[in-house]
Amino acid sequence: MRNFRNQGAMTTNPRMSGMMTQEEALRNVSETGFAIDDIILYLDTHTDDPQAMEYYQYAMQANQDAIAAYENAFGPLMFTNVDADTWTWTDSPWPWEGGR
Amino acid sequence: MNQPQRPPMNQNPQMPPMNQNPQQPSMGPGYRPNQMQRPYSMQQPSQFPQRYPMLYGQQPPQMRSQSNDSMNMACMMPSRFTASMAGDLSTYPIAMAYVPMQQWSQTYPLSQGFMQGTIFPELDLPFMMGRCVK
Repeated sequence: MRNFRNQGAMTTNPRMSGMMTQEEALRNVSETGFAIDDIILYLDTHTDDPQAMEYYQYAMQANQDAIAAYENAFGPLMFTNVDADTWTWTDSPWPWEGGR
Repeated sequence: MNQPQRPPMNQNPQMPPMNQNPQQPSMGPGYRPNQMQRPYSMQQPSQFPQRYPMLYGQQPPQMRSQSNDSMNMACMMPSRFTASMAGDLSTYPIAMAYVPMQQWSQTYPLSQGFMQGTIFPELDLPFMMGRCVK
């Protein structure tokens, strides 16, 4: 039934279980974010599709997990996600310093 | 004094005469749009593939039915049918357009969907206009 759960990057991919590089962590954010973008388009025309709705929940959760995994290891992705006593937004390299 | 000559009753004066030369290209290279032809509805249905060869991938109709899967058609149309070949759209037959409703099916893994630009394998088609080709 939940056939999509075991094929994604989040559960079975070793990238998520062990140490990830920053690029891999960002890649997981992008992949799960794109899945949300795409399932939203499907849901716009299939509002009563339970499988699509389940995929949407899955993609949302996976995206939140991927963002949390990235930010725990490498700092906030967006300045609205700064969750610390100090302004950690400026800790990581600026774009002209090689940051992304 | 000469009277203006009336066309025969069964002939529309706005309508240019039917193309008498089947070798004359009706579209694409060599097509001269000022030599208008009768619309498709006044022709025999069998003339349609001749008239619009690029719609059929420039294959004879009997070959078309052998390669009728959607992947083939999707691949064939955009790669062979370019804007410069289209000519005057007003010479095209009218048509009814339809979009089949997408049905839920097995999605791609997240990483593959990200790379292909869609999580749906049924929408992962080879669009080739010199843009989306990896």
